Amino acid sequence: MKGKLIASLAFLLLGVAALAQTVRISGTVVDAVGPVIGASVIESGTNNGAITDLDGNFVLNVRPGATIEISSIGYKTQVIPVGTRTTFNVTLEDDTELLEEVVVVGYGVQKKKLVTGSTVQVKGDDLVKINSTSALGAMQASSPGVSIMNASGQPGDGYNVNIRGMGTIGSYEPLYVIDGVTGGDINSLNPSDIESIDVLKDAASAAIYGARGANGVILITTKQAKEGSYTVTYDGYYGIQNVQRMTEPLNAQQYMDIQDQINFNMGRPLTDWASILSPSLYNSIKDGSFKGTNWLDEIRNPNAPTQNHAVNVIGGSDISKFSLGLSYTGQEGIFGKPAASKYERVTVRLNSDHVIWSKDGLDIITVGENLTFVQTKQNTVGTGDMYWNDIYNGLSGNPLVPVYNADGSYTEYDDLKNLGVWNLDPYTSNPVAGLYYRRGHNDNHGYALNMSGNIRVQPVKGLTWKSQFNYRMNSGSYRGYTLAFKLTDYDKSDNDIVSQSGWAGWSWSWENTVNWLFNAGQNHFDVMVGSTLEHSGFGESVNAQNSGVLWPNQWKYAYVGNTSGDPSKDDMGGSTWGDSGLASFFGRINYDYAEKYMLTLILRRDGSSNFMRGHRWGTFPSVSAGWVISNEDWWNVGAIDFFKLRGSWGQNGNCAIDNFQYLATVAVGEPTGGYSFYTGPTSTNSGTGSFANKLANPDVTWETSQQLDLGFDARFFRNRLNVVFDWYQKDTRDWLVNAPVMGHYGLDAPYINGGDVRNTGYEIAFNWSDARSKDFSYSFGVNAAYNKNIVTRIANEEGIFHGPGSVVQGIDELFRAQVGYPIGYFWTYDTDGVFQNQAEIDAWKAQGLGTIVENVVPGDLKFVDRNRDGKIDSSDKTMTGNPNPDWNVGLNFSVYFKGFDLGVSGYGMFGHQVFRSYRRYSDSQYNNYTTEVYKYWHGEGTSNRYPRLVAGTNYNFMNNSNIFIENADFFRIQTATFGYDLKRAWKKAPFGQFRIYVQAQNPFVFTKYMGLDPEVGSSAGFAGWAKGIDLGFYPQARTYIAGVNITFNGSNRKTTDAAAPANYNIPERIVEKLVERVKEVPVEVVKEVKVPASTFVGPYTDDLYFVLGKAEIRPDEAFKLGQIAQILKDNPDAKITVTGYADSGTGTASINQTLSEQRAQTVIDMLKKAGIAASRIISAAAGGDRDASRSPESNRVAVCIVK
Amino acid sequence: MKRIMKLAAVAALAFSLASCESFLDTTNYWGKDSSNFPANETDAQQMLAGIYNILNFGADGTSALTNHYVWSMAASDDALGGGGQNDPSMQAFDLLLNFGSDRYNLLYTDRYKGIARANAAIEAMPNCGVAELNQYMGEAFFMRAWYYYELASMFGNIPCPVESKADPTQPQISGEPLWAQILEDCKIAADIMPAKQSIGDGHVDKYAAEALMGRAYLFASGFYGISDFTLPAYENESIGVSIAEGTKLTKADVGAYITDCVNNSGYTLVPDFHNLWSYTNRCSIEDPLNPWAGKGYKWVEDDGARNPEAMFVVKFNTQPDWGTTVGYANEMAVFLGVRGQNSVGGDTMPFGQGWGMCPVNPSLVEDWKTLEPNDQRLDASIISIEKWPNYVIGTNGDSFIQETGYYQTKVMPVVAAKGDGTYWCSFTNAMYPGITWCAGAEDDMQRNCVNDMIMIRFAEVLLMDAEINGNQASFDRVRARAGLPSKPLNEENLRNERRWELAFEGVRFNDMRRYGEAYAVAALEKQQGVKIWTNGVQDTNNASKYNGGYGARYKATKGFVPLPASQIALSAGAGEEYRYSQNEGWGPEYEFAGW
Repeated sequence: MKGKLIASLAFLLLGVAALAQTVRISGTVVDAVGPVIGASVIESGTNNGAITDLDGNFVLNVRPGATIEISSIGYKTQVIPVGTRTTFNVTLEDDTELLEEVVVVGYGVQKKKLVTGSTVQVKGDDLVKINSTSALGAMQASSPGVSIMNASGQPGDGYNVNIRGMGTIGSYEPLYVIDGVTGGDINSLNPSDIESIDVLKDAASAAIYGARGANGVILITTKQAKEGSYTVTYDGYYGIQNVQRMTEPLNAQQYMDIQDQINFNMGRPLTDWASILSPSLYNSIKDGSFKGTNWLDEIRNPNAPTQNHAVNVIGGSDISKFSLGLSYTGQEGIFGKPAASKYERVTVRLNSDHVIWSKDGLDIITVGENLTFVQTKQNTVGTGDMYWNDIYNGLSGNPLVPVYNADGSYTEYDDLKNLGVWNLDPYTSNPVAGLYYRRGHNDNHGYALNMSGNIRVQPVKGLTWKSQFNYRMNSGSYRGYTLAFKLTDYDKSDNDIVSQSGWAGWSWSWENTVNWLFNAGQNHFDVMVGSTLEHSGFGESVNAQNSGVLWPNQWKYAYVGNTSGDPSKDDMGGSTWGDSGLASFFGRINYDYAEKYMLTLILRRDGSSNFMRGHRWGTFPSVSAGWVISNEDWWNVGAIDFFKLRGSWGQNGNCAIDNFQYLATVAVGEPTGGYSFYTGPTSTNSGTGSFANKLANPDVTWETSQQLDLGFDARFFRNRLNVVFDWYQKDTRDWLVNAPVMGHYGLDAPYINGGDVRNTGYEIAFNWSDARSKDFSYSFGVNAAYNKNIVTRIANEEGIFHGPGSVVQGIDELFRAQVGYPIGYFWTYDTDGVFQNQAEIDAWKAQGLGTIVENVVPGDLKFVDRNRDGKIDSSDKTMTGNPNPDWNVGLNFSVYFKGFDLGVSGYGMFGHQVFRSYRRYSDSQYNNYTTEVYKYWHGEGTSNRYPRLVAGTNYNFMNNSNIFIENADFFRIQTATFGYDLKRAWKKAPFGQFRIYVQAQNPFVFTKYMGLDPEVGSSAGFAGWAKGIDLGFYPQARTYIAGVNITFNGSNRKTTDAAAPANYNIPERIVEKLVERVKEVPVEVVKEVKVPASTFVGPYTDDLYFVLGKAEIRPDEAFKLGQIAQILKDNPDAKITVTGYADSGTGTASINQTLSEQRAQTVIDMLKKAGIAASRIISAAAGGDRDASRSPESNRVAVCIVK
Repeated sequence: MKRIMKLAAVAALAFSLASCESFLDTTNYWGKDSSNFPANETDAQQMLAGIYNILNFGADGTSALTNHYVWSMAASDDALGGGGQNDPSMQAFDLLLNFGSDRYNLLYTDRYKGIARANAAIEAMPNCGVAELNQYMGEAFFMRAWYYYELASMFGNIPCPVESKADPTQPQISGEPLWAQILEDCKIAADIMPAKQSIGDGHVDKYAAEALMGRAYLFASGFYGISDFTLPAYENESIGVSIAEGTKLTKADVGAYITDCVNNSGYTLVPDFHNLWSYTNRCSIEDPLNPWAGKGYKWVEDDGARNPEAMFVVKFNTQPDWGTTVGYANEMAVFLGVRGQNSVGGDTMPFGQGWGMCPVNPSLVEDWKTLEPNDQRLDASIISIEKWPNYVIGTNGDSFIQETGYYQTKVMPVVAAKGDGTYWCSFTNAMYPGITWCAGAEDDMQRNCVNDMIMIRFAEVLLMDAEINGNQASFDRVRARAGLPSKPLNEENLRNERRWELAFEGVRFNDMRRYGEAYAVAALEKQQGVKIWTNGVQDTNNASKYNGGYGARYKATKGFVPLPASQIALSAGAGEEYRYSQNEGWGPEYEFAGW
């Protein structure tokens, strides 16, 4: 592969000047996978050399006793004494030190090996392979420390993302930065648009984003413009999705049996089904012709399609280059019939880079721009709480009700009555019709434009000023239609209602940075200072609603303008949308000594308009350091190629609250605040009221997170095993929360700085990757992250933030944030099984333990009397579950063999619990159950977990307890992919790559969780800081996909093979270096030179290197003096020119002048000592650099030319 | 050096953008703030509406479960708790137990919102150039008194801020200082408001303030055994109020206000007691299924007419949106409505569906039949399910706790025929055809109860007149309207008269409490063992198994509810010395776990 990269340069294959008394040697240079083309083979101490040809062969004439050096970019240089051998088969080892991966660190990039913070990078190529609609979904298996939990499987819905644990109950989302523009939406990008995603996990790394870094930072770099001939890629797939695991509701007969059982258990007469159902319905159930309606199955959308098409064009010259991407994504939901659950996205992305002024190979002025536009459309069904959840309705709908009447219309309650008899439940509705009428008609459109332009000025090499102006625009619209319908007397809408809304907002930011790269000897500095100004401008929103669409029940005509316009039914509003600013100043110093000792200092100061003058400004420092132990001279552990220790400490902020918390605002004209004074008939006006609605908190200020991180990066076994480890402790202080204020203030709570939480954890990632040959390579990666979340302070006496009650109708508070516990833990009664018989009850009571009611009976739950006070009350409630996983684990495997590739990725979460209830117990006994109901107690020994089955409004069900809490550990195979590159079989195809593949997504989930999906990032519409509440969670689909990746190159200059393991892809910058290197090597193009024997033809050049700052030859260089002296002695006619140099990066010009003279003199003195006549020595001193582009060491030199 | 100079030059450019403090100043265009509000009469009117607004919050779906009116009915011997198994909070009201750690917090904070708005209005309105300042201010004082009356009745020992200042060190006060503040607010309101009857648009008048003063005085004096209240000193030039240190409010003073109200207010009794209540409206009363049909009853408020007896009402409107204030409709009526029956088929005519809370205590019916058998008010105030042949005990498929077979009739959803064999969930739809509701609320049984809810009625003032001033004529006037002859004006007769006249109007519990512990315990214990149905199965109301039952709980609590646990916790925020003390008789052991 590497060979291919410079295939076009192979003409440089050379013969080399032969010297007198030379020996002809030849050989082949290979690496692990094949010939190395273009490797240089140089006789040590000379500029006599050769370059290997297409097959890795070389021929060279060397002097006897010579030593040859074989080197090539990306490999470790080998030095071999020639001795008496004439053929050499050399195998070069990869030098990953040279494959310097670069990571994005905010306002710049850094060599990965020098990074001292904790970051994780996911490559765009790897994202694309997962074929997820969202880049976040594609990161789940490959970003330890970033917990990404699906918040809903409905297409277009998002993820619950937190980096290193929940840091607050306020805004806990990380900061997203897309191409340097803060605050974008990652889901607005197609994964194929993304070059890389870098996550800044520790505070020191995130400190460069100070005020908003407290929850970590996710930096997204879109595909960047590249020089070279045009490369066009097309990535496309089409797949079908189905439900991965169904939960079975009871069928009609089972339902009737269970209802009978309930009545029996309760001592009630059994339902006489024959008399309360119509004969036709009853008979059809009894004779089996009607099995009952599986409502969940009725709303299922089998074989829901998903597809994605992305075209990318990249190319340009060394003065102008661009990258263009277009994509379309379309995905239907697996549930949602007869309406639609659907997501569509179109993205357009363009960036380009232009060198305006270039001089002497230095690009002095460069301009560039980034532009992305996305348009999305989402149609949704209900996925909220029990009153707005179609999955829940599917699970709890009455199976005795047919979906349709004989005439094809939806069965309504009145139809049930009209069939003859329906004397069961007046609330019996039709979930499919309900979905269609109430929740099935909506369009959510979103439009987002992200654009930025930048100018970079580089007056001298190493110093760059960059100014970037960013503009972001977001707008959207919503249209929804509820049809007029009547399913029951209680589930109806007399009027149809159409509502529309629209909103638009914009923001700009301007950032200026100055970056200065310089070296002082082995001391390397990368200094950056900058400032940004951000302004979120006035957005506007407007909404309207009316009734009486002129084309009733026709969704496509359902616009407010198409209504009868009844002024009494209208409802409209409009408001401003944000006005806030952020001003920031920041600086960073990246320092390293010889790439061995690293230190990074960051300081950022931010001012936010969300706070009052005097409380606005926050300063966020960080320091981090690293030590590459493996670069120490004494390091001698063969198996360990690279070992870096790192540690960091830093502080970040969070200012994500609404503005004006510091003002005593007055609510005016709010519809909630009025009172209607009137006489006569009732009022249709709610009146206007005004009142101070919020306690001002002029002191409100930053939330601060402080984090300590210790870790190491290591590579073992010839760089094949890569290990990254981190331990961290993150303390988030002064959460911005609406903490309750004393009731007698009579005002709503303002945001205060109200709580602390500590997250502690560790992360470890192993990646083994081995390229056995050009045709066979494989890699395997596993990563794991552990996090423990403990609230350490809440700014009220109670130490509790309460979650809401009635998560399931009628139940008490389910989750809370409390000191000493993880955020959002489940606070319920504990149960210790089920009373099997009266003796157990008596024994329980004899111990003085309380029971939930006085007269418990066998089959009742044993509510644990934790304080043993003989009563069961809220003081017995405890933590019975934690929705935050302890462990997040990811796994990746891939193998490549002769054009075939196979990949598997998976992830798991462990140690967390989910609260699950697919029914509400309080309302109606006639909701359906799932087949789990058979696990309920129905006699001694039948269950020691679930209580006896009675109508749900019973203390066993109406009290939150651990019977609703389940372990939700799971491991999910995320993708399994098999592909083949047709280019392998059809070498003359006009493509760089033509890969076809098939993929199974989510084929297996290993879990004991009994619900639809164990990955529940949802709070079911309750407080945003909660999760793990499954009331009918929209599950992730199982998807089968077929797709292609096609690459077309404008020329064969370069090909990439996305299917091959990543380490096959040589980064562009390496290719550039390679080209430079080839240009640099001063080899003469001489096929054959005839030289008279024993005549010195010269010239012979050698470089003598000196110690820093001194005119003292480095001890390891001293032997060269002997060589030079010998040559001079062998060739009495020859003279030597000695020129001294000094590195101009160190010291003043005058010092350097003196030093260079002294260095030349040192050599002369030594030669004189060796007996060379002064007349044969010509001296010169250059003062400064021999070559400014070279390393400082190479400028501390005396160049000796003998001729 | 040259490079450093260049660097400095570029850095200076970058940092020259740095005049940032004003860049970060933003203006609030969404709503007003205290710096520019209130400024004028419109603002003052809106402030006033904001105070009354809390009345609607007391009537919304969430607050109704902790509403003072519903609580006082369920806690008293008027009614049991009722509702379904999922309404343990209602049964806990009845059993004088707690349910949930913060059971009463919403009620508590809502009332203080009203108080805070009143405090702000009292301070700010004199500067708004209001023409009728004394009327406006009087209403603010009245509303503050009203909200404190509810809080003081329920919690007993509470902070009592009368300034718009967030003061974490406000101490709990109780007894005389607390009730003197309430009485003073009534007195100021009565003193400053013009002697003019309200037009019935919902604004209170001088006479409502006098009536509230009487109600508050009777409770506080009886419960705490205080006859003269020392009013806190108060000066307010803008409304000409000056109450010196040590000023007393005596029984005679209160009596004079009541006399004024009886003689001068313009309020009067509705001739037939039935006609006070909405089930006698013209659209429902003559329905063949209406048990009261054919008796010539006619609601006084038909077609928006003024009820001459209603002195203080909660107004509703047709904009009860779930997203804003569902309390713009009377959710309390829905809570008390008939549980789980086919009301839209007329099975429970004239009453509509609701959640079946506060089922009438059968011993009230027994006492009434025994002690005042000819009282028209019994028929007018209570309906037995025996009147409804299709009524299903135990509901269809739903649970029903403490079902007694009796419903009160005063605050209920009232249905009316559509003409197609089904019924509007509210007669309002029939009486005002084509009336417009907020979207989605059309014919919605949860949001169509919008007729006024009477909080203070003139008959109560007449009974106060009898009690405080010993006016036999007022007493007889009330009895005569109920079709009853005169009776001697003594303690027992007066107590019974109030029990019959004001049943289910939210005053009985405080009456029981002020008559003394022995009276209250005896009255409450009459609920023990009455016949009920539990989920359709016949049962007896065995409250004694819950922490000793009614009497024991009353003795322990004196009828107060617990302070919200979160408020106690919050109170210590300014220092442990400010921590509220919990009311006696409350602790984790008095948690009701469910029937």
